[in-house]
Amino acid sequence: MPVARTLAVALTGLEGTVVEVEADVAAGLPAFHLVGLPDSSMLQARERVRAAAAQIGAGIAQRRIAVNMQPAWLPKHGSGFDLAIAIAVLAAQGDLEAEDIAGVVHLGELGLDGRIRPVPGTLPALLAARRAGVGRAVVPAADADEARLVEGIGVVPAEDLCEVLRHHGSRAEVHPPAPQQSLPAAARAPDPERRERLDFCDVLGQLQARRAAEVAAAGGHHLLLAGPPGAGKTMIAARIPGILPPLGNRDALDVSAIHSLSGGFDARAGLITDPPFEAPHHTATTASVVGGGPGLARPGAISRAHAGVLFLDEAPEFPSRVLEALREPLETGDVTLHRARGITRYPARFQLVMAANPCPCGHAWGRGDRCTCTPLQRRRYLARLSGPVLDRIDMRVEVGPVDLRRVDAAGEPSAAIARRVRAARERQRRRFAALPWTTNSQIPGSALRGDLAPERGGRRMLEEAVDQGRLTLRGHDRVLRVAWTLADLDGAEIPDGDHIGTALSLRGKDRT
Amino acid sequence: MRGGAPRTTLRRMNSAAAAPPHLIPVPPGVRIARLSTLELGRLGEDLAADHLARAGWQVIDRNVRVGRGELDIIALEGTTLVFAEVKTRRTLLTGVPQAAVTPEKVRRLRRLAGEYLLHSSPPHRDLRIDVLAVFAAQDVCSLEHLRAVA
Repeated sequence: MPVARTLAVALTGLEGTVVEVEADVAAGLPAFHLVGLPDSSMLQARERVRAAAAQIGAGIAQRRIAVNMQPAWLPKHGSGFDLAIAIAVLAAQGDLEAEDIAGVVHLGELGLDGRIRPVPGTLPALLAARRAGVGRAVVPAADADEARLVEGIGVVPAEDLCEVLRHHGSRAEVHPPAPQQSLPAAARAPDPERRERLDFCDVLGQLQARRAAEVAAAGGHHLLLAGPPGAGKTMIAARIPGILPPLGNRDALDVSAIHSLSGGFDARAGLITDPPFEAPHHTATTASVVGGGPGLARPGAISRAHAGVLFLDEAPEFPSRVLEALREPLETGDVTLHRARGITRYPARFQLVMAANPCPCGHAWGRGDRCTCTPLQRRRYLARLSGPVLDRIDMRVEVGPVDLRRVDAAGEPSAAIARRVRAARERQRRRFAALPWTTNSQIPGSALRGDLAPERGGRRMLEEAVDQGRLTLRGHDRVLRVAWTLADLDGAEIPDGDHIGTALSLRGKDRT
Repeated sequence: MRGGAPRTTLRRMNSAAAAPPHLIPVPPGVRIARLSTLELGRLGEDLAADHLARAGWQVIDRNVRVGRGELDIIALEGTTLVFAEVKTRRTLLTGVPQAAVTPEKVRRLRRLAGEYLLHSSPPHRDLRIDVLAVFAAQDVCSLEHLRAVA
């Protein structure tokens, strides 16, 4: 009996490797060996495959079965290999033709009754398969929408093992499992209305903060909103995704792949084009924010916020470990996590929006009459946002209490702001068409001092600030990037002194 | 399963995964359903020994008690000394006969073979442990020979 081979995909982070699953059925005492560096959830595939095949009427032979997955050195994990293992074994024992299954990727977890269950990461897995030149893939029916987003690969959705056998032209006498009440799929669907309801016209006053939010959205800049409770910091931050332009093709694919991997992707509406918004609570652990977990690291909040907004409400309440861990991703736009089982890299080019109270009681504003904190408490509170972290924030805006007498009717609606943001992004896209970056926040420092250097007058103001130690060199670059965004919003060709002055004032004091 | 397998198929059994088992008619007058477990096991061992003898093996000893266990058949295939364990079943409700030879049982067979060789060692060059799985249906037994299981 020849060895039968089929394909599956092993995911390491978002990187997929096409794995060849080969099965040999030999005379000997009944046994089922699974080799090729499986983890324990994968070793359990033996029981699922045996039961599933028996349930649909194509029993696994009572022989010595060996299944190998190559490359054998690559650690493999998860239940997504069940289907490929079952198909390889059934082909090895003669229920399928080896030619029919060679070169086809099989993804899916098997239930004991032979049903095929969805697996996380279908989208990145199929992207990897397409890169490897695979033309056809069998996927769980529940993942079919997600799989079809990958163009150029023939997707065969299957409800159960029996359907797969028939698809490959098996003549074995099999019957589908009895229909059952399956779990409702709606649990995965996010609320599509949620984002629509949040509109900037609900925010009263706060012109400066609204302007800062607009600039942040237009250039992808990081933003810190500081002010007393109830001033509208959280309201403003939650409305930023509403004025961001929809994601481009590449970003949409990346974001969808990350969400597919972390299990929150509903593919019925196509790729994710709304910029994601992640708002972890301040009790979040480092692993949950930057990504982590045993074995191979899973994506964290910063990766789920890739190409979108990461909002840290009550930022000084976050453990300093979490805040410090954001430093590298803020600079590089991705995060590389080393674990004993391997290295994973996730994209994490997020826009950081933080909100902070001025002190633990929140009332140290203006003259601070109502504040009950000691000066030491106040100093310690803001020192939790360390210099290196604050230095990476482009704009630090103070959000004071709303003066109801000066509030005019309703604020500008999100749609109007979004139009300006889109126009500014369009200018950036045209300017950077031939360059590897897309927004002002990504301009490297060398370009800011070279081709994209503003005129002399404005530059002198910044150089003075650096000379006097009021601004770090990194801060100098960040102010220039914001100045470029201000120029884009104004429709100016190049930032002038006004833009740079405004950018410098938006950057705020080094200690808020 | 297919009956009347040609001899070439028999020889290929070593490697062939799906080789058909041998079909042996139940001796006349024996009613499988009436047999006790002990009698059934005895019948299986007789059929297995006959089968090996017909295949040209030299059966040396049967039902040898060694220490706390028993070796069903000891035979020479050419220069190879084979310890054969026979498993007989008349129903597949608890799985095929060979499924009863667990890794634990295989370890015991190895130990028993070692103990046997301590006191009597027929001249041989190689050693092997085989399993003969006999499934006794109403009027025909199927016999499957699994070589070198341990």
